[in-house]
Amino acid sequence: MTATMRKYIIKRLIYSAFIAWGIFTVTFVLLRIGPSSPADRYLATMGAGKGDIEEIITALETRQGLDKPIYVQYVDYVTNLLHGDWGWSFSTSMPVMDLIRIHWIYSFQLILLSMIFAALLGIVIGIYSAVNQYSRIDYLSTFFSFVGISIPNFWLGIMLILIFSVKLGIFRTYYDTSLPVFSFENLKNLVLPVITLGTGSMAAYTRYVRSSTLENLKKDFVRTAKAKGLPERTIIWRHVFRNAMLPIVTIIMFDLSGVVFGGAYLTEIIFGIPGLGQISFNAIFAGDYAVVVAVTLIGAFITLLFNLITDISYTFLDPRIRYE
Amino acid sequence: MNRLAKYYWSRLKRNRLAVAGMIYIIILILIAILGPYFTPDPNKVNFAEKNIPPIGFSIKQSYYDAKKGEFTTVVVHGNLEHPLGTDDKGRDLLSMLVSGARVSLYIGILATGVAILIGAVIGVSSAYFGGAVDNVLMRFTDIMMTFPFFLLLVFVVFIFGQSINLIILIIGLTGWTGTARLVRSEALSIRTREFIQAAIVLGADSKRIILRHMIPNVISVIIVIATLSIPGVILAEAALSFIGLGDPTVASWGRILNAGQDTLDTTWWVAVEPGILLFLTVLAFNFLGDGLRDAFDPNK
Amino acid sequence: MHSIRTNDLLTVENLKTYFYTPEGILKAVDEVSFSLKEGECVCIVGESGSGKSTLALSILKLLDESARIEGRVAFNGKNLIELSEDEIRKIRGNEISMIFQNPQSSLNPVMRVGEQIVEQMINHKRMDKKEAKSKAIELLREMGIPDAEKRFGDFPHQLSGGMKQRVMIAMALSCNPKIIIADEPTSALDVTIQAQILDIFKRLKQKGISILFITHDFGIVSVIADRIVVMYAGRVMEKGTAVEILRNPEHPYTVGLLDCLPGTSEKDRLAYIPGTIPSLIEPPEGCVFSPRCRFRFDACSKTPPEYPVSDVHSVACFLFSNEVNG
Repeated sequence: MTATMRKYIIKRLIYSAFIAWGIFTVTFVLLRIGPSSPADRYLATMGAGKGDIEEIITALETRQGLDKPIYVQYVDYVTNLLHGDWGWSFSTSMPVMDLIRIHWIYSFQLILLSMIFAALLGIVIGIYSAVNQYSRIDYLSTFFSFVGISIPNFWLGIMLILIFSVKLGIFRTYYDTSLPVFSFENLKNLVLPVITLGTGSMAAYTRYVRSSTLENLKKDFVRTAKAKGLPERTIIWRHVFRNAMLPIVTIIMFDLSGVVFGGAYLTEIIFGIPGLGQISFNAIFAGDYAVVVAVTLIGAFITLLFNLITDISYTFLDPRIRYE
Repeated sequence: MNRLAKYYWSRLKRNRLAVAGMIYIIILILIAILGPYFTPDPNKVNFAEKNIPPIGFSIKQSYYDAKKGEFTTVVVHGNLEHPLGTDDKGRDLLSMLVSGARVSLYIGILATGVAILIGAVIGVSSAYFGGAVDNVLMRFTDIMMTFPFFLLLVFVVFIFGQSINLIILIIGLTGWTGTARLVRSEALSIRTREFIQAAIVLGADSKRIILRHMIPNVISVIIVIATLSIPGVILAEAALSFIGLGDPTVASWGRILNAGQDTLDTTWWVAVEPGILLFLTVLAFNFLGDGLRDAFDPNK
Repeated sequence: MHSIRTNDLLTVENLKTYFYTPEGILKAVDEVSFSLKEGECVCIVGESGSGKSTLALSILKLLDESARIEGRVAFNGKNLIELSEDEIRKIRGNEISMIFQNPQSSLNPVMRVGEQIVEQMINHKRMDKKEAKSKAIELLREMGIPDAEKRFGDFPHQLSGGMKQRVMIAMALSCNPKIIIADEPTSALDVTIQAQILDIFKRLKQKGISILFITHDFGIVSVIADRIVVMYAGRVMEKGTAVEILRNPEHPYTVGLLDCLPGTSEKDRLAYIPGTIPSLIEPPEGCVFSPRCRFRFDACSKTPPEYPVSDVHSVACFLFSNEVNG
C-alpha cells in the first residue's frame, strides 16, 4: 500500500465519521420534532388514575432527560449511541442492543444468500447476453430483466407462496423459526424468500453487466487482445470482465443499501422471518421508537460501511484511480 | 410540436416497447380519470355476492344453509356483472382497481413532482454555484442517501400520520437525492460547454443563466428520471399500504393487495389482480423511461 | 532500381471488404492487390476514410461480423480469408502481429503491462511464466525502456504515450512474428517521440521482419518505405517503389497529396486537394477520384485498370492508358 493510498483511506474514514454524525443528527431531529411516542402517552394515561396526567408526562420526560436543554439532550443522545447504549425496548422488555444481537442473523442470512443469488446469476446472464448480443437468448434475458425489475417484490413473494406453498405444497407458507440457522432444512426454508428478495436485484445487475460488458467489448484493448491471438474465453474473462466489473461493484453496493434493505424489510414481513425488518415493523406498531431508530441507524451505518468498502476496494480494483 | 420534440418523437417511435408502454400509461390515466364515473361504487358491501371469482374461473364455496340446517357446497362461477370478481365483502374488484389506479397515479405523479423539483433545484444550484454551496449540498445529499429509504419512510409515516398528502410530501422530501446528483453532474457538464461560457463572458446574470440555459438543458435528464421514478413511488406507496401504513381512507392497489394476502387460500384473485396491474404499470413506465433515455442520448 | 528480389511473404489479391449497413453497401476496401516481401516495408498511404485501416484489419480478420471479406490474402500457402477463427488465431500475434494507433486505449488499463506481454507467449509458444517474463523484460530493454524490470510491473497509466507504444511493439515482437502490421503507430505521439519509434521500426526491418505500415504522412513514408501503395476511397490509386513514387508521382491524387506537404509546393501557400473524400456507401461511378480530379475527362466514368508506368510502378488512371496517350 502506497502512502497516497493510505492517505486516501484515512480521508475516507474521516469523511464517513462525518456522515455518521450527520445520521445521528437527522434521527435526533426527527425524534424531537415528531409527536411524543404513543407508548409514553399510553403509560401516562395508565398512571393517570393516580394523579395528574401532565405531572406524569413531566415525570416521564424528566426520566428521559427531555427537561434538559436541547443541546444537552443532543450530546447525551450521541454519547449514548457511541457507548453502545441504544436504549430500552419496552415492547420486548430488553435492551435494544440485545434484541438486535438475537435477530440480526436472520436478516443477514437472507440478504447474504439473496445477494449471492442475484450477483452470480446477474453477472453470468449479463455477460452471456452481451457476448451474444442480439441473439434470441439476449432478447429473452433483456425482456426478463425488465420483468424482474418491474415486478413488485412483495407481490412476487405472495405469488410464490400462492403457487409453491398453497397450490403445490412444495414449501412452507411461513418461515420456520425452530430450525437452526445453519442447516439444510433452513436453506429450503429460505428458497422462496431469497427468490423474492433477489429477483429484482438480479434483473438489474443483468442489465448493468450487459451494458457494461458491451461497452468494454468495443474498447481498443479488446481488439489488441484479439490481434494477439488470444482465445475468446480469455479475452472475455481476463480482459473484458475485469473492466466491466468496475462500475458493477458500485451498483451492487448501492443496490444493497437502497433496494435490498427495503426489500428485506418486506420479505421478512411476508414470510415471517424474525429479522431486523420484522422486529422494527412490530416496534413501529408498538410505538417502540428506540428499536425503530436503532434499525434505521444500523441500515444507515451498513450503507456507510459499504460505501467505504466500495471506495477502498476501488483502490485495488482500478489502478487508474486518482486519490483526491 | 416544435422541431426538437418532433425529432425526439421520431427517435422514440422506433422503440416499440417504449411506445407500447406509453399507450398503456395513457389508457391507464384515462381510466383513472374517467373510469370511476362508469363503474359501480367500489365501497358497496354486498355479502350476497361475496367471493365471486373473475370471469372464466369457478370455485367451490360452502356455506351454512339456515333453512336446511346444514352446510352445503355450491360452485360459484365468474360472471359479467363482476368481470374481475368480488372480495370477501362482495365489493366489485373492477371498481376497486379503477379507483385504486386513480390513487396510485396521483401519488406517483405528485410525489415524483415534489422530489424532482427539490432534486433539480439542489442539483442545479450545486453545479452552478460550486465551491462551498456545492460542498454543503452534496454532503447533505450523501447523508440523505445513506438512510435506508423505505425504513425511513415507514418510520416517518408512522410518526407523522397516515394521510395520502403527507405520504406524498414525505416521499417527495426523501426521494430527491438521486435526481440531485444526476442533475448536478449533467449541469456541470453543460457548464463547461461553450455557449454557457459565452453567456457568462457576455455578462448574463446567474438567474438568467440558470433559467435560460441550464434548466432547458437538464430537462431531458429530468424527463427520464421522472418517468423512471414514478413506478418507484407507486411501488413505495403500495408497499406502505401493503404493510398497513397507507392512508386508511383510500383504496390504493397496495391496500387491496394487503387485504388479498389474508385470503390467499380462498379468494386468490384479490391479491393477484392488483399485483398484475402494479407490475404492468411499473413495466410500462420502465419501458417508456428506457426508450426516452435512448431517444435523448445523442450517442445512440 | 531499388527492388529486392526475394519471395513474396504476403500477397493480397483482389481484396474486398464490404459492410452491409441499413443505408446500403459500404465498400471500405475494393479490389485491392499488393504484396509484401521478406524484410521490406510497404507503406499504405491515404487520407482518413480511405479504407487503409480497414484493409489492415481485414488481413487478420479482426473486423466484426458486419464485414464481408472476399479475395485472397496468401500467407504461407494459406488463404487467411478462408481460415476458421481457430486457425487464424494461431497466426495472429504469432506469425503476424499488429500495432495500433492509440497506445493509450490499446492497452488494458487494469492489467500490468508485463502481464499483457507474457500472456501472448504463454498462449502461442507454451512458455512457462518465468521464461516468458525474462523474454518480456529483454524485449522492453531492446525497445529502449529504462528500468525494464520495474516497468514490467507498471500499469499502463503509469507510462508515457511513447513508452506505451514501445510496450505495444515489444508485445507485437514477443512471439517472433514474420510480419508486423502497424496502423498509424506514431500518429498519436509527439513529433520527437515519433522519430524514436520510427527508428525502432527501421531496426526491425534490418532484422528481417516485414512491415506493413499504414500512415497518412508522407514524411514518415519517405523515412521507412521500400514500396508504397496509395489508397483513396477504398481503392488503390498508385503503387510502386518508394523512390519512384516520391520522385515521380503520376496519379493526380498522389501528386496532390505530395503537393500538400509543406515545403514541396512551388507556391508559397499550402496546397490542398479541393473537395472531400466521397461516401463509401455510394461511391461515384467510374474512377472514385474523378469528382476531385483536375484532369477528369470522358474515360473517367469507367473504373480505371492499373496501367504500368515502369516495371516497379503502376497507376490506376486513364491518363496512362496507351489508347489515350495514343
